[in-house]
Amino acid sequence: MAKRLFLEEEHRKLNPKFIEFAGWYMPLEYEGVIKEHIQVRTNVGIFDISHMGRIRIKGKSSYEFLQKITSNDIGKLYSGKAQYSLILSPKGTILDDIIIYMLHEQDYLLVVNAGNKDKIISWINENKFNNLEIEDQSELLILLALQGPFSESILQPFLKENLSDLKYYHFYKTKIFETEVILSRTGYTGEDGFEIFIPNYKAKEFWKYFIENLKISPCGLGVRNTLRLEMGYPLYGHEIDESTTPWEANLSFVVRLEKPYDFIGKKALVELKDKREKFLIAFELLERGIPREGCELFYNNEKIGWVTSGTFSPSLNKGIGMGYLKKEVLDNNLEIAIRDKRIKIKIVKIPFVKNTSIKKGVK
Amino acid sequence: MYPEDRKYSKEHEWVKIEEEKAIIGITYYAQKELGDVVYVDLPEVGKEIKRGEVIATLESVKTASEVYSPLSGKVIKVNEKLKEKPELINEDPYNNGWIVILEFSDSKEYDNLLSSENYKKLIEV
Repeated sequence: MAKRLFLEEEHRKLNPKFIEFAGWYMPLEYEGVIKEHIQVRTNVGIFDISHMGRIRIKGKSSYEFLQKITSNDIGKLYSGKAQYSLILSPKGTILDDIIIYMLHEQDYLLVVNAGNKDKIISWINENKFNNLEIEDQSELLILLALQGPFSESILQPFLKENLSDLKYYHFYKTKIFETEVILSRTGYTGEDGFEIFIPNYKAKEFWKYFIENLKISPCGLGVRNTLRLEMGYPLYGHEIDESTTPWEANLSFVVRLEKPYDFIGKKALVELKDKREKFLIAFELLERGIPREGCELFYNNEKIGWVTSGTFSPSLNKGIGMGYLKKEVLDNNLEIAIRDKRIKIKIVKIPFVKNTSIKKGVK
Repeated sequence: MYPEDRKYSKEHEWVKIEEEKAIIGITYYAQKELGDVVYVDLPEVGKEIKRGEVIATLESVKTASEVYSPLSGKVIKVNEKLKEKPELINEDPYNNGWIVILEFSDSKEYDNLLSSENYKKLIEV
């Protein structure tokens, strides 16, 4: 039985197409992936991403514990700062990609992939220290993502604070509609935007106001995928999984080997640093077609890899994808097999779509 | 949703007879399931086709879907507009989103197709 979103009744009123994802029954698209995609890239859209797992970790040993189980260095965090990180197995392979929010000293919130929540909670319990409080807070808070170049201007009237002062990957507690929420300048779309943690008893009021009064376009899982893929962001179960190291997935920027903690997976990662068994590429199709997960990749007619994610890019009007090659290939004699045709592809650097509104560089 | 001026196949295609030729497209239900169509692979004019054979392929953001010919016959016209505007299949599946026109050989095949009412029953199960 798939889990149901708290706001399901509100979603139904908008008549979306539903699918099952990571054990949840969720809207795939409302008006259509392409219309929703254009809204987020040029205006603003809203996503209900309450399926994501939320795990609160508190206590005297929370700092040491998180340094042990994650690859990035939480010594860089301070109250109000968030960080993208990985939880690794002892083999150095990826158990999940997460965002850690430091609420206060000894008080952290982890946002984990819906499909990995149970796995990560078990992993935390298997490896925990004394003096730790661990709580699954996934049901308590609804998580809405407001994304698009106009997300700041549409939200600003409802806040006391100056939203332009909230920097990328930072968050704070504030009041919107008289309700205390956590507002975080994070997202998975490549546009400027906010993820809003709302107490569940107020969620309906927020959603209805955004949809009915502010007329913000509701966005589903379909467009969440086309947007992240245009940015080259990995999706667990596709570019990253338990058979992949951060080196192979081009995620070395979230591995801090130099942090003074012997984190789980560190030893294996040191050994595997120059021993990649596969190489992640981003590619565009040079002819009409749409790459799909599982399609084979060929180099001079030799099968050399596979596609991990593929779609039609509404921004670029062509097929784009990511995949792994067994050998590092530098020239461009690559082809993809789509059904019974071979189509030429070109390796490109991510992001596929440049100059989006994400506020990364703003200090 | 189920115009009565035409007949339907179990595979969610519709057939409308105009001047003894069969105009073929996919239904509202089919386009909704498919999602936004981005590429359409049309057959060559003159192609001979049997009922049940693939007559066109529609690529949507989500997936690729084959259109099976509900009748046997010869392709005499294809909707060239779909090359530039594949979204016509989503926006106007019963009119401007038509896919091919066939000269058909067996009128019994047409008779065996579903009426609007029977197609409606099939969908609403």
